[in-house]
Amino acid sequence: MRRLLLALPFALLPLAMAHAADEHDHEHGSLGAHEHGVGTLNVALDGPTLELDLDGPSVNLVGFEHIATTDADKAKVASARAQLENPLVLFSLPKAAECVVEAQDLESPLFEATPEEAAGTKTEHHHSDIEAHYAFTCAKPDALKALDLAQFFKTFPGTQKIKVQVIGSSGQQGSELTPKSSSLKF
Amino acid sequence: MYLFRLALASLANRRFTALLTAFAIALSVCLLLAVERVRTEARASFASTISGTDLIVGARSGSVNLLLYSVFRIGNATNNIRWDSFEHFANNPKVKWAIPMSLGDSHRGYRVMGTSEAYFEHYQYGHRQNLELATGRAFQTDPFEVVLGAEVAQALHYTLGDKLVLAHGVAAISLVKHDDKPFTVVGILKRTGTPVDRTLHISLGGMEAIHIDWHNGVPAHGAARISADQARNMDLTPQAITAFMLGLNSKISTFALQREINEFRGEPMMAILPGVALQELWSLMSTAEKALFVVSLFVVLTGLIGMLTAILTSLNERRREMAILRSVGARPWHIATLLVVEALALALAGVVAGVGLLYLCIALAQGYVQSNYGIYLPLAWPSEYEWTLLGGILAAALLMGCVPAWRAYRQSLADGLSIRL
Repeated sequence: MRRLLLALPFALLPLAMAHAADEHDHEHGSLGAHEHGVGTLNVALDGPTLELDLDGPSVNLVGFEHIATTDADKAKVASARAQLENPLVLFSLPKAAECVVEAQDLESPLFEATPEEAAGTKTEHHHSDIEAHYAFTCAKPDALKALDLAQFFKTFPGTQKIKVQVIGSSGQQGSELTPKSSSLKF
Repeated sequence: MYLFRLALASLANRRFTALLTAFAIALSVCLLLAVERVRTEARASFASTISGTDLIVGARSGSVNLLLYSVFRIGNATNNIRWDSFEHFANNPKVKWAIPMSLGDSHRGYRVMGTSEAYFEHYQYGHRQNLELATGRAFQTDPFEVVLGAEVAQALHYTLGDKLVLAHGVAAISLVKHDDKPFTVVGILKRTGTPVDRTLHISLGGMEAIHIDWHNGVPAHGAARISADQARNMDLTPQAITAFMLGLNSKISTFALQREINEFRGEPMMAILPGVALQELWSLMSTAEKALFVVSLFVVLTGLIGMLTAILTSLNERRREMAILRSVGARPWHIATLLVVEALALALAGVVAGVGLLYLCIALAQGYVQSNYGIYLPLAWPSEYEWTLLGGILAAALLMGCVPAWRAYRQSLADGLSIRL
């Protein structure tokens, strides 16, 4: 009998798990890293396709992490957004590679339309991130010799370090780029 | 040219000191080059251990830790991962192939890895080379078959058909052995120069079977024991594995899948890019490498200063030599050049002997280093960087030769032929 009782939690485990999977997932899921001044950039190059994934605390890009309410803050968000929407300049992709933006997607609570709307989604967080995904098609991918983030660091001085992961024709690479050493060979 | 001959003749006159000085330089050069070579070869052999694998997945810990235990068989996993999680991602449409790995047992100091047939098909090292069997075949349906790495077979003298017993845990001397379920050697892999050579490969079923009657980490006793034959008829699907490797259909999807795995709700897991983790490892080791390099640079400096001392102390004894040279028409700058050439000749002799000594050491230690540390030291021509180092040593010697040259120049002007004894 005691054994049976001991087995009871295990018998209930699938139920508990199903329950957890249904509702509580985002509360029990682990939290991602959030380190001010540090962002991550994933670069994947396969044939003509080039993909960039940028992720980092909002403070790196706009200087604050709350929803913009004042006009000055709104202007900062709009300006950061405009910069992010011009990835060819921001990431200094060489003209010779003839890259064309296929898709781009910016995600952040700061970019939500109104404070009320944003509040409805994720206000319990005191920190917020900005994520940007880009997909390019490059006619001459061989011209992509190096990744240069000098322009990025100039545009967003709040960013001190970017952890870069690169998948290129020569395999995988990882590096930490800073304003002082801002370039990585493919 | 005659100055060079004169310098050599003068050195030959003091050959014992000259030889010792050159030998000191040779030793320091040998040390510097050896450090440099071991460093580059260790990197190369580490980097060539894994190739073609897009992601390595294990329990959430550190990326370097995961890389070390899954690929290099160094250290241990913090946690296991569930078999369902492996199946979940192995069946992901982005995944081309998946290799499960189960670690934790050993045989006479060599690690045992439970895996599937996919390992022999998809695991790649070096420049995208697949594993090849030297003799025999990969393990098949019978759980008690083992495929040996080249070095295991060589060091322990195993051939096809031999029976061996695995030990529980990874300590070199283990008190708990799986001696009720011996394994048969069915294949031996070709040498790869990677940790694969030092691994025994069994099927996941075999790994499960040897632990099937274990409870709470100890083997069962008496009637509860399950024999090898009974185990063969049981369901040997594992509950948990240690880690797995993934190859993807498209490299572009690597980051997406990495994120998916890192955010997997089933259990905390971590996916790493082996290339990126390797670079992280380098940045950890680069401090130690730099320290070694600096130490060997200082040893070279010591050798060169020894040479400087030897030449400087000889200057006084050689006043007569200088005076005679002056009397037969040598100009002060001749004397100075003579001393610079002498320093250069000593350094050159030291460098040549040092390189020779290095090759001798490599030739002697190659086999030992390869089998004990898995680092292959080739008897290759010095690399560009090594040439620069050697050139730097000669340049430093030239610079140092200028010190006694300057003194001799001044002295030969002042002394003339008068010898004050």
